[in-house]
Amino acid sequence: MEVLHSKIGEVIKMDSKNKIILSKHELITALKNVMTKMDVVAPVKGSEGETHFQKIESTEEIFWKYTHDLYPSKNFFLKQEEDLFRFSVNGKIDLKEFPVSQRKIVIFGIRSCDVKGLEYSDLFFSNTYKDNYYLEKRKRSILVSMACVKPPFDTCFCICTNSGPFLESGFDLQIVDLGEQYLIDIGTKKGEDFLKAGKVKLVNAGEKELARVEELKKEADVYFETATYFAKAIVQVTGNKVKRELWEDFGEACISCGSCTHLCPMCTCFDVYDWMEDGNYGVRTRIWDSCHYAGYTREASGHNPRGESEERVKRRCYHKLSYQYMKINNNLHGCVGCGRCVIACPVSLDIPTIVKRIRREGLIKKEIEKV
Amino acid sequence: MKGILSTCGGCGCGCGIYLYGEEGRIKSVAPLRIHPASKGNLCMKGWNIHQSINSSERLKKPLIKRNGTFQEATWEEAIDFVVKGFKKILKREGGKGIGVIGSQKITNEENYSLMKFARTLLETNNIDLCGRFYCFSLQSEPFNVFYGGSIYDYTDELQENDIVFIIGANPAEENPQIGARILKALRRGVKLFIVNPREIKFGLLSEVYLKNIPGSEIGVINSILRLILEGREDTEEKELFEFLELYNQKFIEELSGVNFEELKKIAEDLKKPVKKLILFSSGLVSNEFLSDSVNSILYIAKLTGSKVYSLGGQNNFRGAVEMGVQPGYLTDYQSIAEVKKKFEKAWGRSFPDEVGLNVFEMLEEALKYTLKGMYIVGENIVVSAPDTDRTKRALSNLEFLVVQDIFMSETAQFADVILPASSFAEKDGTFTNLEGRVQRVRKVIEPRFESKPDLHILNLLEVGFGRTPKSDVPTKIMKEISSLSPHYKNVSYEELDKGFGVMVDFPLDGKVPKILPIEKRYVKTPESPDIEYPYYLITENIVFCHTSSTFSKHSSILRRELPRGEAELNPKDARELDVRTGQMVKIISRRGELILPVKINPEILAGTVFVPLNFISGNSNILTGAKVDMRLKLAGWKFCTVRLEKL
Repeated sequence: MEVLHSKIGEVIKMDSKNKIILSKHELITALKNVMTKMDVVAPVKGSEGETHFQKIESTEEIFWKYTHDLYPSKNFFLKQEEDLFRFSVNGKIDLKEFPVSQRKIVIFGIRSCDVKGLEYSDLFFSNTYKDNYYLEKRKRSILVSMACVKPPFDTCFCICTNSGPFLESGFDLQIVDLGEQYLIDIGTKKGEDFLKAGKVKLVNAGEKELARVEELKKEADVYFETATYFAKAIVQVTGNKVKRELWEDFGEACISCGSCTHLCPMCTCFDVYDWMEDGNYGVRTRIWDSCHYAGYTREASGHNPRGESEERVKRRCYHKLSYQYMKINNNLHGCVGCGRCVIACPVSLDIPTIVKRIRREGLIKKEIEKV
Repeated sequence: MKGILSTCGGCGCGCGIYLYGEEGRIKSVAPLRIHPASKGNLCMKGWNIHQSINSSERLKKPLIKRNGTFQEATWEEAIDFVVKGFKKILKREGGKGIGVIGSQKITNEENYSLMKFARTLLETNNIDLCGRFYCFSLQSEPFNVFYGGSIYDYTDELQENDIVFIIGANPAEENPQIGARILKALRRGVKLFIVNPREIKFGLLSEVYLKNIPGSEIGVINSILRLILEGREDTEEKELFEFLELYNQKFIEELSGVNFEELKKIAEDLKKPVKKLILFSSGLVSNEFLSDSVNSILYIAKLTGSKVYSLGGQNNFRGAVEMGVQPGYLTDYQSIAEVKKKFEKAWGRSFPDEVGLNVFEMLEEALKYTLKGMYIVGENIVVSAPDTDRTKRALSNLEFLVVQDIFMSETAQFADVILPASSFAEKDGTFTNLEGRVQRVRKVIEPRFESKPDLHILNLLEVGFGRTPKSDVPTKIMKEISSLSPHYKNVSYEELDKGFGVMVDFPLDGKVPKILPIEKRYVKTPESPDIEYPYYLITENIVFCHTSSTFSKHSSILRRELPRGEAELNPKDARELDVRTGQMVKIISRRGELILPVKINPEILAGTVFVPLNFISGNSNILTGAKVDMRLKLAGWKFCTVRLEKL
């Protein structure tokens, strides 16, 4: 993790010196100062009362009592549809990248779960093959996260996946709302850049404020309603000890809509397609894809190793719950507990339900006897 | 990038969808947590709908066919060409020589204006929808009263039933939101009964699953009706019971191949005083006994107090019907005879008295060279009508054909003029979903290339006909609609913008649906297999293939789902034919032939071949026949018998 972050944003060793205190007014002033130099994305209230993260022109637009956006913040880095490059087909192939803006982008108020989701995506996009389209945008970004003093929805379960409501790492700055004022954790050099650009006077947090944060952490834990224990399900999935009937049952329910994968902050699958602007120039475009679509795994021969929705659900659960994947991803869970799948899945086949059912009815008979 | 709330154009569910426009294209789509129909999700169609809107293969400019090839033209030239073409026919033949097909995909305002244009300026009541080839057949007489009925409040009520009986439908594929709600009901412990020749989603979770021989649905229903009538005292019912004696165990088991004991179970459960729901779709109504089948279903519903829903349908099929895109009805199912004066007064123009031709009859007339010109808006009739060859002949017989669409469709190939229209992301308006929720469609990006919204095109045509149109603003048109249609009286853009649309009052208004007397005739499977054509062919909608593929084939993700149609066969039949999955077979019917790869599916009834409907390559309508329902003169198209040849 350290290695990667030195590229995306140098991690600062955490101690109490990195925690500062800021009044609400000061934060707004800081944001105003930052906005002259950087693009700021912040929560805005939509006409339907929903929270949307979008680029703001003035701090007045910010929706302070926001929940979280159903649409994940990964869209700022791995866009749902993104043109990658233009090519000409006149005799020889000639590729041309689209110009990239050099302005820094601040994601203000991003929730802990989304931050953790990005941490996971960072690994995916820089592990073996470096995906510059993603990494370029990540390098230019500053994540100013907002710790959830109270989880915004009853569908939240980040407490089960070690990805919230308060974070220890992954953010550039983390804001904790203490009521009268904010405590700010400085996570990385990029976070410091933000404070510098915001012309913030650094006042270290005192004992009292730090103690209050600890209290808030404890209080937040009480609010979680969807809490479920992942550990046992992870053991069962990793050891391939889940009975077939349960996967069949999941497969029978799943209607392969792809909503869970599209909304998941950690799902990174994409497809590319080429289209012609005119007779001479074409564009390669990247688009979100989903492992729940049958076409995703179909081979050129027509054979599909995961032709049935049962196999696709199983595959996704392995990716989210198996230790094999945790091992190669810095022990990060494959799920951040944002609860988006709980909201979105039309057939209630969300991760907490799957985990619960694997725990309760998943064991193969032989295993039950052993237990 | 700011998301604009609109309504998904994928199917009749009417899901709320945020569209994010950037650089003249739709860059993202997102669901809406609090939308009553979609509740935070979209199906595969919804998630990928932007790809079709963004497609670079959209029609870019008006095209005029000169010397057999299409040449680009300006809008002025094209409109002038269209007006002259229609005027020529009008002068010689009058409005009778022209037919108009409206669209289930365009907005209410556009359908209404099209209807008005057809009746007043083209002087014809020959206006209809391609939906007539599907479930919407029932919307016409005499079921119209019932059809728009209170059956449609599906969104949450659907989950609350205790018994769900699905016959000839595949809800998870046709209307994913409905499928999802059935599953939730299943989790609650609902009893599910299914009668369908091919396995459908949730089949494993059902109480009774009967695979009937295709076409025998009418027999199955009448048999259940007979079991329900058993022991009733009413004289009329007794009489009917005696007539239905025909549908006894021996007869029904032979006809449909289902177990009579299982049918008894279904009938017993339907008699119970719990919340019941019957769902049907094209599987039931696609043969020539469609009116009998639906009638019997209605009878069952009346006797048992069940609700009945019909599935399927495109994003605005209900809206299109309610806007009067029907030969005999104006908006809101008001018949021409009753309200002609009211409309003539409001429009300040007159229109013909007689009921026009439906789409099926239009094709008939074209084949006889009596229909000279057609104006087809947003429909791909070559693909969606049964018996493709016949449709093609009909269209090539026409003297003048205008097609208005967003893509170059198979139908557009036959046109003299093609007018490029805009997609739903490029205009304002409203859609009415299956449950009767009128919702806003909002303009997110400018019309792509040189396309124009249908409303704008109609306006240009009106001007071409020498009229000064009153307005082409959707708000004003909706005002006109609501002043003329009692059930749309509460619909206004102010109201629509307040929440998630306005529910239109149901035409049924609590009245008992009108049921025809059960026709006392011996009903048997329409086309029976013989030595020459030993297999049944069945077709069905599949989720990633909608609006006759014109839209979905331009999305790389949807197209990838099934790059080509497949002929599904039972392993037993495959063995007999000596074919394996992936091998090509030639499917031959009395009307045409089709070459497709085989897919072996143990869940399909032996002796049956399944081909997906309206598919990009391998459209099953090449094979299907255009048989006519005796009573309603409507097409029963869905199935036929075929022969298979190994290649």
